[in-house]
Amino acid sequence: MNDDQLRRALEEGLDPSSDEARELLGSVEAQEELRDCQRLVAGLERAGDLQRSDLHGVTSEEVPVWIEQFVGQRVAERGKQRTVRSRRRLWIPALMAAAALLMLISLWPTREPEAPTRTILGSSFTALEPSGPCAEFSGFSWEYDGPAHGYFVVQVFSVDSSTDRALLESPRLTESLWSLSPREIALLPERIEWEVRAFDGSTRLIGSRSASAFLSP
Amino acid sequence: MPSPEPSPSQDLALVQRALNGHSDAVRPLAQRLGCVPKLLARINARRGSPLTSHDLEDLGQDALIAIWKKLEKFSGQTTLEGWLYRFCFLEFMNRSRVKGRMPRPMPVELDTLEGGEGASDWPAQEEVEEALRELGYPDEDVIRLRHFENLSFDQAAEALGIPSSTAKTRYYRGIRRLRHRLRGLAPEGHRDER
Repeated sequence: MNDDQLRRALEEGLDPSSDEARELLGSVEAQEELRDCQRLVAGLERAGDLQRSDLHGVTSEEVPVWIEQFVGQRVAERGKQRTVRSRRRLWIPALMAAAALLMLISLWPTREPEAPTRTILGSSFTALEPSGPCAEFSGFSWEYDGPAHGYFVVQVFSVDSSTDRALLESPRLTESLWSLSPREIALLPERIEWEVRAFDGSTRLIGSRSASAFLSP
Repeated sequence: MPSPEPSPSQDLALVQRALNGHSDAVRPLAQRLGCVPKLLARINARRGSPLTSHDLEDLGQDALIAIWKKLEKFSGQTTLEGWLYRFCFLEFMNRSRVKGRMPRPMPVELDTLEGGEGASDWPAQEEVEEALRELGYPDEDVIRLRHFENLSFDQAAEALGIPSSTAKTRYYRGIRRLRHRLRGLAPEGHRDER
């Protein structure tokens, strides 16, 4: 059976076992192929009906907060990338201004992806992970060998954000580890800075350390 | 009376605005992507609920991440929900396999052909989805527009920017190729057999 024969048989709704089908198709094998194709088309119709049934009324005004946050973050990242691309087109005049700006910027502390970790209050945090390039953000870990502590708290920031508001903050942790849920992972951009703080039993800060990390294939 | 649904071209414009970083696209796109958890729940319920609510919650997040990564491939030939459905269905089937909990086959009553000879369980929805994906461009597009978007040949041709005769050629060729794949037969050439 060829495509044209199939078209005629399906358009005319021929019964595969009828004389008309036999005359058109010329062989028992072709008749069986027609029967199969008719069942296949019926199967496609069923699949289409199921899809339409599943899709009926599935969109609503209410949107889960985490979805709106996810989309908002991804769109914002795209906006930043677009801004970077459009700025590259102005590199000649921008280069001159940038040279002057760099001298000023270098006088201020910056959040660089590979900046060395900083420590305050003489804490003894080591082995902060993630730090630098990493394949994924699944959680945070560190080693602590400082004064006796009550708990840790971790805060995560976006390197590219114009605000200092934390993207994520952990609950009070008694272990040197904070594993993220898939929802929390989805909220993280590609470059982050994170800080772990140690508090004593009286909720007094006794030490902290921060690190930067970025996703790299 | 239900409010008019956006057209595929409007969906494409929305997706492109979001991908270009326009903040006014966030809320409308999030509203559309908000269907993903519901779709997964409906597909799961239809298949005998092999996944728990916790599984579905995780799957919803993973599906959304996967969808965003592929959003640039949305071409506006189908509605956005139709495009999302395919992702949800495939992600659901993959997760069910990983969990070792194969979904229940479709109920027999839904397989009964109206006025036909009786129940038919071939092909199953998952077989169709997988075979269509393997079929690929250009035949897959016409078949999906005809059966999943319920378009006529003329409408499908217009959506694809091709003549109606070309749409029909691709459709019937695609049906035969699909049949070959589903039956596990050796692939045949695309030329008519005479």
